[in-house]
Amino acid sequence: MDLELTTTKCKRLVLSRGYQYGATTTCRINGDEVEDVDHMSIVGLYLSSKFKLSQDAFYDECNARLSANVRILYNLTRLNIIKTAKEWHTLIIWYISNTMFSNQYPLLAIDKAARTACDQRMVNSLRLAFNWSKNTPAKLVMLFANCDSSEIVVRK
Amino acid sequence: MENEIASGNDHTTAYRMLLCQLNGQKDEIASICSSSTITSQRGRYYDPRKLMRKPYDWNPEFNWPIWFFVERSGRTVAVKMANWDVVIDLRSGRHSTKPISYFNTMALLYHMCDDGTISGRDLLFPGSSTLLMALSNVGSRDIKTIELREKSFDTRWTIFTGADYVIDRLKSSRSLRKLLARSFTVMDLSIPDLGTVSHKKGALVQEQRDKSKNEELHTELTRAICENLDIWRQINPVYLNTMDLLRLAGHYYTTDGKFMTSHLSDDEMPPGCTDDRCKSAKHTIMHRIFDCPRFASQREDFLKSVGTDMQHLEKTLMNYASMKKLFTFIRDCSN
Repeated sequence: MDLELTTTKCKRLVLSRGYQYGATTTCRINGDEVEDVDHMSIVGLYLSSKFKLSQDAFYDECNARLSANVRILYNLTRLNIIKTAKEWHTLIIWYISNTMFSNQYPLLAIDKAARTACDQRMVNSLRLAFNWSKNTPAKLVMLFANCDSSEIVVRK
Repeated sequence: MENEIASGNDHTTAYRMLLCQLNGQKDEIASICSSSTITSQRGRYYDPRKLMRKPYDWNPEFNWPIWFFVERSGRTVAVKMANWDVVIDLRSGRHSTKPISYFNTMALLYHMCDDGTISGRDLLFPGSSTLLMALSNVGSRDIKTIELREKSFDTRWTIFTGADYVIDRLKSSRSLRKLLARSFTVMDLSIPDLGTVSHKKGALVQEQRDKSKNEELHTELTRAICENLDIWRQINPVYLNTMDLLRLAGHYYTTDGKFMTSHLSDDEMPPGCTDDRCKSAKHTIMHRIFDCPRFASQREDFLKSVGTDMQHLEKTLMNYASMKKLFTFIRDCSN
């Protein structure tokens, strides 16, 4: 294949936690400078230059992906057709945990704040699904939904 | 030298021997030969003489006896069948430490390679078999796979592949289904050694850390009722409403509509209590559930209805009716 790079479609992301090497150098293709960005999404995996989760972007993405699933769980709760905790556990893993964690494992492994944000989002989703108010204790929500914290999930 | 390379112990050493040979350094060769690396029993590379040839295609017209694997949860069964419906021999095994389908089948094939009593060494795999792909992969550095490939070569197994419908037809044979429905011995196979948990100490510390993290999910009241988190986890979350959860966390509403927490400071009397014995209480709802004389009659009625005592409240969590009674009792105690 003899493909050419289109400069306007290329962006540069410098991954760094310390000295910003990218700030001192520029990248050019055929003489055109490639635009620098501080985050980008590669096949669904969000990457930021600091290797940290951007909480705004994460919440936006979660809202987009989780809202339909939370609605399904909420409807199942209202219909009262799921009779055992085990079945609920499977549904929660399928509709919430997997949806939320699947693209975030690399970041969750290195970013504690990201894990906390994930846990918080998980608790909020479960409160909505089971029609529990916002002041229900997070630890009891996690206990009765039989969910592991993101730290344990990522390690597994 | 060919033997040294073929034995797969250490290619670098073998090539050093070759270099010495070319340079005419015969004394050096002797010293290399006596090195510990070359005499190591376990090879790091495959033996190029024992590569697996491309499997033969199994034709539906063939009717001679052939072995194939039936992977079930927790065990793999090796079946020798002839003429599509005659089961001649059967072996069943699982890996003792990692009983997943892949290792169960691998362990059973290891066992069959070592078993001198097995007759007929034609083995049929589905074309998509993961184990077959692993065995055929000449680039694999996985010592378990290399050993199994060489072992099957040494014991002269002939590998066939069949289309999925052929395998399904064999598996759905009536005589086989009858046999599989019966219970039979499943061998616990420890070979191949998977070398599990090399950092046992680290794994143990992590396990303890996870356990203590789980313990954090308890509230004072849930711990007092039942310490075992697994029993709490068996409760269908749909059966619980917000107020139940708040009460379990020690929150409650007073008659004048105030939202209160159960925690009491030193010498603080629980709300509504006048008895001196209540002074030692540290948690309002827990005190009312377990000790308070004002709630003795409700407590007695509750215990009579669920048929247990206050030391075995975990039994009430195990079925819906008694669990509802417990939550009703907690609600009464927090009003």
